Amino acid sequence: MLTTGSAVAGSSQRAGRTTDFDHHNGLNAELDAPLDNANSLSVLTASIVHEVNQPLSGISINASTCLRMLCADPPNIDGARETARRTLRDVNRAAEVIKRLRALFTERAELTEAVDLNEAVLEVLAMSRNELRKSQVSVQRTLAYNMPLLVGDRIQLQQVILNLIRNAIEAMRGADIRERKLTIVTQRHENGSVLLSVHDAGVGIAQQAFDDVFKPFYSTKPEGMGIGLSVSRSIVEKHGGRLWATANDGPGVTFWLSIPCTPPTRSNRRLAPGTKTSAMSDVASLACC
Amino acid sequence: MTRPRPTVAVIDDDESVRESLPDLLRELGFSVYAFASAQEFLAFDAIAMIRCLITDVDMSPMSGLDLQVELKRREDQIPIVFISGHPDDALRHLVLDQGGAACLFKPFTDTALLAAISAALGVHGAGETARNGGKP
Repeated sequence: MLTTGSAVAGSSQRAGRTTDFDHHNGLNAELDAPLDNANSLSVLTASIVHEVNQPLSGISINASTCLRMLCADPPNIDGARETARRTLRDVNRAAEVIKRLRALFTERAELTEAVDLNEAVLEVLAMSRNELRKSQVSVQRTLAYNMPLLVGDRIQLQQVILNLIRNAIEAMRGADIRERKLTIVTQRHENGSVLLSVHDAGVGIAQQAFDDVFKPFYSTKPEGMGIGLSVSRSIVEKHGGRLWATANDGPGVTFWLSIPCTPPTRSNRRLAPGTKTSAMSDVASLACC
Repeated sequence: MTRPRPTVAVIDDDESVRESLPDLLRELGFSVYAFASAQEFLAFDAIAMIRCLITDVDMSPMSGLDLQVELKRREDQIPIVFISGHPDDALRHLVLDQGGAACLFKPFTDTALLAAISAALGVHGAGETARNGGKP
């Protein structure tokens, strides 16, 4: 079990003992993490525009080709059939974009309660047991023994943890079975926040993409998986926390989640009991701060 | 005798563009090579036969802009038609200033594409071969 008092990648003012998980990368990544909340809305809009323009472009190109092939002499029926099929596929892509948009902006009543992060992690691991077993991923967990309770939406936080675990499984899909190890650690920081890390030995993330992976609609899989890192980050930030990623010394990536357990001193909102919120209104309100 | 078809290259990291755009270009009367990245294109050994480049802007790690700079450095004057999923006027200004032949915003029409490539090739009616050629 990890002891307390270890310095973590949380702030440039922190000094002290480091753990295996304190990377310079992590520190820099967090300092570089975008805090331009005022631009969140325009960044999101640009993402939506781009994501919708891509399949629209495919539809335009394929339908134009279809028409020309049918007007050719003799008509190219096979080619036209193929372009029509691709057109429908691009329509589905656009529909997926809309679906993910809705997932980002769907309102649900949030439940605020005291959350034991270790228990939340154990429950998510229990839920993922089958997936982990099927993917032949072994899990090592080191959960600190005196973690403070945090205040927040347990289900949402568990969705974030599940997202990180699933991404890790996916990242290690092609790896040698002996190398498929997922490490989850919870730690308590002396400033009162809790830190969770999910470490994989997978394909890793390109150096320039460490910010990109948190952008809306970023996905290396066409179907996407669950709530996605953009929503995960949004959830964590609503709890006054931070979500970021660092490259490992060896293969793979570590995702970090830190959440304060004491009332935040900055102007981040605390969740009031029974508050109905949505990611959209959060982005909008942050834009006004 | 069939008129020779000019050869163009398409660069886009989006798989569906790489799948669909070449077919349209063939209908418009061109021979086409498609590449998934700027680096892949630069490594192409028959690069000299490419008469016009149609490239996405937003690619990583080498963007369409980076490619334009690199081709300039190599003193390769191949005309470039940029295509972009971000309707950014500042971007269009920039690529045209740097010598790009055209910048189309997605989704673009086939006529806009043809006009851009024809202008880039500086040949009036370069796409007319489509009427005679059909599909190869």
